[in-house]
Amino acid sequence: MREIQKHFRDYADRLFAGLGVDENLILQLKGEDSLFLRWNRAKVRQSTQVRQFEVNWTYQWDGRQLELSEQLTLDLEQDAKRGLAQLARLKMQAAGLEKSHQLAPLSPAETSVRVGELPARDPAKIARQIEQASQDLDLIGFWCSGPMVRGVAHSKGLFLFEARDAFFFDYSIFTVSDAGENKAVKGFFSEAQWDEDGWATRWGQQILRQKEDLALLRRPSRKLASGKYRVYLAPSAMSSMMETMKSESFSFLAYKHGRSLLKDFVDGMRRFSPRFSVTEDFELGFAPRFNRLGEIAPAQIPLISEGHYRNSLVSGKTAREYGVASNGGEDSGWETEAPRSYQIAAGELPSDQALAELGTGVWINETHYTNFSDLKTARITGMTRYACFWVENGRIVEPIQDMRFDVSLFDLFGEDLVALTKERKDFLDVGTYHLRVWAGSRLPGVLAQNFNFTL
Amino acid sequence: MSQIPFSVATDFEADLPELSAIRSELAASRDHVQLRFHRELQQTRAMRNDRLEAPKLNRQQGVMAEVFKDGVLSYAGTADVSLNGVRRAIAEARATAERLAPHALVRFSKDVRPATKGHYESPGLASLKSMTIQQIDDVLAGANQALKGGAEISQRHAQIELVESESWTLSNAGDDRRQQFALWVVDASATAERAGEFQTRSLNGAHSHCHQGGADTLNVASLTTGCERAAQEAVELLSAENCPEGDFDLILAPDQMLLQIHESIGHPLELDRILGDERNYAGWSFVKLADFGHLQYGSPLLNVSFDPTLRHEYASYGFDDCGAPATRELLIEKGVLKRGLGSLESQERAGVPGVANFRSASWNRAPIDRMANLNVEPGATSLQDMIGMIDDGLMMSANRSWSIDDYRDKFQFGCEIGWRIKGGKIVGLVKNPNYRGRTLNFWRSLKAVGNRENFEVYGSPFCGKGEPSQIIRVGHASPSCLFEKMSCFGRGT
Repeated sequence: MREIQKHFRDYADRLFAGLGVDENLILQLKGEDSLFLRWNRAKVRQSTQVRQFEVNWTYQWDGRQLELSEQLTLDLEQDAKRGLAQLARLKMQAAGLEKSHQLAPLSPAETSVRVGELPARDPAKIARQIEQASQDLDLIGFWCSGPMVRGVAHSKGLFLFEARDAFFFDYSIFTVSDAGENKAVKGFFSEAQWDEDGWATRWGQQILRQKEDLALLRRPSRKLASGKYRVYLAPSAMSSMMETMKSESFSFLAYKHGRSLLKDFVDGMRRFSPRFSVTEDFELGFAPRFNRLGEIAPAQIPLISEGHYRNSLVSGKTAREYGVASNGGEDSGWETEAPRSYQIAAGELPSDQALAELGTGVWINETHYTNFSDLKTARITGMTRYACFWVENGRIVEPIQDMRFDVSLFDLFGEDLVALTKERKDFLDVGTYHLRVWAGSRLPGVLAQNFNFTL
Repeated sequence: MSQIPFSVATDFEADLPELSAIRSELAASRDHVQLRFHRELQQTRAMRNDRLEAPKLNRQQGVMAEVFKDGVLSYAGTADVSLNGVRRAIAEARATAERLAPHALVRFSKDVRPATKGHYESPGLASLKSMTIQQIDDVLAGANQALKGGAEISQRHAQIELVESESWTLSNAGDDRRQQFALWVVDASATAERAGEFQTRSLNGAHSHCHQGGADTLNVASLTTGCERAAQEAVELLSAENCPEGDFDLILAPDQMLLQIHESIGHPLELDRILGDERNYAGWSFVKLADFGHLQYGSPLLNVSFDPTLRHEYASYGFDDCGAPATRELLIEKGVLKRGLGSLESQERAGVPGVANFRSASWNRAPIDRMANLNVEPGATSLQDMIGMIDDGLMMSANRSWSIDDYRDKFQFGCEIGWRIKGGKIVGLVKNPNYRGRTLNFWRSLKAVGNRENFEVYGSPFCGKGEPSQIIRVGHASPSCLFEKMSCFGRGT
């Protein structure tokens, strides 16, 4: 990725040289050189390699602002030529605009470069390793590997660049129960280092453990009646619940626009359990600290502390529009000012006692397609998915037939929250819409009561 | 500003200066190689509370190389469309196809890549050249004005997006296809606030006004009317009763039918899902291959078409990405499942009939089975007669919340607005309307289908699927439909 770093700097310099005295340009680089392997029935269904580097511009002239995205070919002459042509067009357009109420601030000049690289990987060897470890299994999954980059440069001297190399294998293993139902377990494997042979050994051990769950899933499943249940949401289930909660709940812009799931909470009308704390925490290292404007967020931003509102996430643009302070929130992408590297505080319940503490109820390993069902009451609906079990007296009895739920976060993480686990799990964001996402979280399991199953 | 053209499309060929050398390179390749060049110019202009937001232009361009070797397909994409960039992509795709061949799930016959030539373009493309940025901003300003519905309206938002998209597919087997699109999304909404409660009304649900075409696609009079109605209804909803809970006869307006069709007909009928490719992410399907030709999916009133030929619908096109010519096909006829949403690849694997729906989001993704235009065909009942058939029921419009399980069975959807119907008449508004059900029960309870006058065309830019994931554009058209005894509820249930 060193060559990308140089290309980005040279490209930025060429464009900055084309600016007049009243003009500024903030450039954000996002890119990847990725290998994607789709698996079905323990075989490769589709393989794709994608090399893409895009630059998001924020152009300013005399208080006016325009945004542009452009893909780089990595041929400097070609990229600079096209960039300068775009610049000319933006200059022309800017002249007809009013001054912007969302003019992005220019962060102080600073240089920071962090590049993490891993040895090259051999797709054929990876395919062989996966196939060997899953010979007797109905395995389906998604292998993703290769470097990612993020960078920001602006015309007043800022240059931030971060590259990492990462891989993950996100997969499911299916079986058919004795009653003829399809059942599955979910798995994820990733490591910070690339160990060409060791990774497959460790992943194979993980598969062996999952085979025990597969055996449980072959039991006939229980059909639950609609109603309220005591449940344990494993960290993996929390991860999918939080995908919906985090999308606009913590955004100051969403709050101002009436889209926030937590408006009543921010307004002080609702509270969560004193056990419930959420923090944007870049010390976890799940994402770069800088946003698309080059603003560097504080290392930690408490969002919810012991059930009380502490902060919303605010980007420089939002800060300018509403006259508040920015804390480096990200304003691009699907989710406005969503946490990028966050954690929910651990509790006191040892994970190995979660089953006993659940007593009688439902063990939920994953949820699927969660979405808000009512903003005002912070209600979320979704489905159980994968290995979810009916538990009696602290022992797994049988799998359940998947159920739809509809719960208020104010209740789930409020009065109905019984305990959080002491141990937490890390989740890398496996999102790949258009470009690989660079984000993650550290989450505990949650024991709760009155969890509302509806269908 | 007034004279600056809104359209930013230039000659695509000028962006591919080494095309002649690339053609020669392609001709010299011994393997079957396809190159899909794709350029997309997306402009978004938005105005909130009378203030223009920063205009946005997103330019995507690149090429996806597909190598077909010994029945195995492999892909490599790059934004570098020079001869060197293309060479590198072909070499990478070829190397991967060779090395992964022993591990391939499927080896395809050459039938899955029919060599086709042709051209498709959205209607009225030439008229885009006459549009100016000022015209667009004037439309946004007019919409913001029309969204003013009194002191309780706290947010007014209008947005116009134009995507000028072009793809050009070449292969050494004889493919030469160019497709040019002008794709519009027009969005507007008003949010009313009273004592901490918000109600938002949009034109017909967020991002549903999706069409393709030229300058006449932007219907200012209709937009103004829609904005005025949205503002008025947002305020009225603040005073409305909460949607009642219970089993009611339910009319879904065309702008909610779009979501219902999408989630509970479109996705479960995708053959790659049924074949299990999506089980790790989007999910599987309750539909089995053996169901085609037999399954009573809905009541005999249900007829559903895959129709990429409706000129202004959002996902009309001439060919899919494997070269299959796009034709209209009935998927469900008189309630019986006839055909799946599956490409030539899926048809070869599954042995059931499909459609031309092998589509990729852009140059950086390999194609998979997708929806395109998926429509419920008009029936014979007027909306008035449909309302008249209901003694105690509800009508709902404009989607705002959606969730369905991984087999596409148990769903729960919410709408922006509802109306209470009693004694065959609308008697008032209800707010926070939701309903839930199970797919086959739902479609089998279809009691009346609206007529041609009630047939409306919408779409969505945001259908997500695949690993790596991709967002595709879909079109959905339908009349209002009446369903018997649906489980409905409001807030707090």
